[in-house]
Amino acid sequence: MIEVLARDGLAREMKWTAGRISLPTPNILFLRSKGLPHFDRGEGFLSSDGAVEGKFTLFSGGSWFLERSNVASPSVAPSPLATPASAADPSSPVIPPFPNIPAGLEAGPGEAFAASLEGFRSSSGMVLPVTGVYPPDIHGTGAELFVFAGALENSFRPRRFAEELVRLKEAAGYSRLVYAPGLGEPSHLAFLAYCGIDLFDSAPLLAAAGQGHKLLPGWRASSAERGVCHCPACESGGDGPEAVYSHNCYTALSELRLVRSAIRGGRLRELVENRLSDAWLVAALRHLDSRHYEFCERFFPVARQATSGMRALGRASLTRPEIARFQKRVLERYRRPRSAPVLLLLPCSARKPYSSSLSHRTFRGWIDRSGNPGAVHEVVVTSPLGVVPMELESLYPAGSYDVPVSGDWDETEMRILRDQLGRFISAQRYQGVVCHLSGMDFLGEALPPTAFSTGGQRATARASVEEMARTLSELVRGLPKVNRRQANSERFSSLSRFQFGPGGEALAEGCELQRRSNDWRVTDGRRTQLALLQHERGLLSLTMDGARRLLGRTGYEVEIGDFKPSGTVFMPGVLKAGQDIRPGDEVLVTHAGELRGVGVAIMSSSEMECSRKGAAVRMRHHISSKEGGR
Amino acid sequence: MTDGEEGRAPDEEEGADECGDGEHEQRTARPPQNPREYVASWSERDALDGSETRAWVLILRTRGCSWARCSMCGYHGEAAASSAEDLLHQFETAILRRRGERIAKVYTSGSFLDEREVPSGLRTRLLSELSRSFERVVVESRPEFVSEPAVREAVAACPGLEIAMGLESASPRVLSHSVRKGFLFSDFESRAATVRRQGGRVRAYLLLKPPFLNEMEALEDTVASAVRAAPLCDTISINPVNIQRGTIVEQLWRRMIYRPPWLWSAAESVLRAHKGVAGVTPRPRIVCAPTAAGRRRGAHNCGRCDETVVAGLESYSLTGSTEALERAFSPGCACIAEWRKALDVGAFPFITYDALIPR
Repeated sequence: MIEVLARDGLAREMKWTAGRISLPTPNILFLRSKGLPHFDRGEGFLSSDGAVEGKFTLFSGGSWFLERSNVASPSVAPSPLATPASAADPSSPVIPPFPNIPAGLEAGPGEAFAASLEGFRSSSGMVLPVTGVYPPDIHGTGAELFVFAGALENSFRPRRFAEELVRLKEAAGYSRLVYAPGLGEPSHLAFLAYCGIDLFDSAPLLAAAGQGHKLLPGWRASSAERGVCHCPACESGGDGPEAVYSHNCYTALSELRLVRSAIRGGRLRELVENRLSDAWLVAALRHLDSRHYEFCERFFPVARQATSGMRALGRASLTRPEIARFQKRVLERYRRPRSAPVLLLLPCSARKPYSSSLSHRTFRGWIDRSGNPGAVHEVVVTSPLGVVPMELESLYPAGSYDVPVSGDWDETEMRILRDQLGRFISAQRYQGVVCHLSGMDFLGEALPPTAFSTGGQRATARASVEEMARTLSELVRGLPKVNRRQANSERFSSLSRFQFGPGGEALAEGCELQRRSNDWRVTDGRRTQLALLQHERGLLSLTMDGARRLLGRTGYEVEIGDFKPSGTVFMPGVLKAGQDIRPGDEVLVTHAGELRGVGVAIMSSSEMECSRKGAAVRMRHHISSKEGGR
Repeated sequence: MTDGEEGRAPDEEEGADECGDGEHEQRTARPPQNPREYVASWSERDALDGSETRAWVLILRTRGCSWARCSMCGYHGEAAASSAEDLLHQFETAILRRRGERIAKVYTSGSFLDEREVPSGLRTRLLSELSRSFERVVVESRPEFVSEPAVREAVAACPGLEIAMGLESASPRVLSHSVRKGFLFSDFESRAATVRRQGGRVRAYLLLKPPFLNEMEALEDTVASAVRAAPLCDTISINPVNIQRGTIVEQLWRRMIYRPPWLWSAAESVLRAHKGVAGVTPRPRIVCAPTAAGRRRGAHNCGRCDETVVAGLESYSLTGSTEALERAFSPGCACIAEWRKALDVGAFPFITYDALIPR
């Protein structure tokens, strides 16, 4: 039985229960076999000869090639290694014997292989391999674990690794465990967990020890080197292969705990980027980001706790799925406030949201002096997000990212900014553009020739802001006066469209906004509240009345069975989920086209599609029992 | 060397050293082969009826193996359209270099008994000539050409002829999914019986570590196959796989997921097979002379102990005494521990341990 405890992108913290023992994942399975050193601090074991008392044990079903009929011969007893372990408890998970043949190298069709799995289909065996060779009928098997047999081989070929991973995850679905045999170095754990791989083994720790490598997260030391580590194995002073193996195991265990903590805290990507110490990790991450964006992005949340603010510190951060998604949605979903045809480009601020920073409060004051501030559209130009229309400033990741500021831009950042800005300006059709930025001359070609530059040497300098206000007032002079209510309503419409897609505009029709400290309350202009925008969350929270306006218009609906949801909607109750739903999204809960409530998605729609258990939506509002079937 | 092919050891060359993603596996085209030149010929140490002697080895260049699909064999690259006259020319040039060897081993890059490689008239002529000047003659063929009439004719031309067949493994799964041999143990069994019925001798070649098997599976399979084949054989030759050009094995090696077998595995398989065939009468001789031993593309250990183990294997192959091999193990080199780990991890066949250790 598998239970998801926490999610972060493809990664998850889970609990795997088989028999009476549970195993937390991600985890390392320590090899247990008579001749091998035994590391007894492990939580899970992979055994070829009997269970480890009181610990979670996964069994090796032994060799597919060594048939008993051939091996058994009266004159030579096969070595004990050749005889598969017999699990004491028949409900223990076993990896069935299968030929470890890389994809494309199989000889002929796989009937023999399929036949070898028969026993495992009918029994309670819960484990199944996918090698890429024989895509078996996985869904009829009840298998809870998939063996990613090509993982180690493909770690030498990062592009293939990413492709095979995506193929495997698509075949396995979200809710099966994935085990990558032969992988599990401390430095690799964060990345592998990030890939949605749940189990590893100690073989690489053993092999490294044999070669005299003391493994540390992001580092390899020689076993001869003293004083690099404080683990119990190193403290007791050994440097033989067994002591080094033990050190490697301790290190891997600590790193695993860190990985689980990062998943719980929504900061795994940061840890992954921190651990990019092998070329293949960097390359594989790039391939996932660039070539498999569509697959990965679906699992990344659209909101995170402000405390886990995104750190976009290096080259690898630039292509992170949440950033790429934000950029894509700004270009594809977003539409500027109708009555604000004058674009004002502003620099970002260290403090988020931008509007709370000193510099932006200054800008705001001068914009107001332009005479028609509602006709001015403020857009922040920032790395690595590109462009952030001011009304989206609280949204994740715009509301909580941190980047190193050195004043120097690297080529990739410049390219992203230029590209994003150029496409944004041409899509939104502004009548005038004021570029109030300094030190960003490289944007030049993204700006229309008629653009005014007012940033000067320093955007906050008195002379610069005066110049900005003067330029703005000239540009807005001939435009119709936009009152505050209309300006707010249009900005809210843009935000709603960004969150819910084109159908989201329906929420804003005739609406009115009231500020309450950091939050905005949205009503229909009379007394009825439609939504609330809290800076903390960044997204709009709907009321039932607000949700009714969106019913049938967006990809954010979760169709449930005929019941009245309250508290939490659990998985078996979900019949269908809109394609656009990501963890953290505001969703409408419906049955047969009728609104039953609103809530926050805990899973992505991809996970809802293939999960049979777990909490899917945490309800915010729902129809009362009086409301009945209405 | 007893049975190894020192004239055909694969060339040393760096594998999987491409930059970038390693997706490009470059193959350099080989120049066309000259049909009038034999592939190789050399002289090697061997034993006959319990005493040491030398063997003269000739590899004829024929049109090549009729099967040519085995996962570890790159010999089909040696083929050329040689006519009967070309073959005779090859033979006559090569025999000039004979230096009093008592044993002759004449192979092709396929089957000596395949009519299309060596026409039957020429075959009989060569065998008669060999029979006149050597005390023992060995030829090799796939079982499908070891037919009753062919064997009768061959043994008549060369009494006591030893016919070698590349059995490789007794296991049907290994034969079909790993070696891709195109026949099964039962085929070998019936053809071996044919040879013996006609008064010939039978030699079986067994592979050590064909592709997709790990170190432990390889060792177990070779030992089990030796024991199973023993009652049908006069000689069993254990051949550790070496990395030949253009083979599946080479692909795996380049992808860094295959390491040629440890020499310890060769030694262990010999020792265990030796014990395993003890009860068989007549007791077959077991030999093992790894091609390219101690080199990157051949069976190797850590580099420090390779020579000792190879010497032990040679001594065993020549004398049948296990003493030198047993001595190599005790106390043995530090790398024995690493080899044992590889065997132990072999109990988890889904872990490709070869990818984690130096090749």
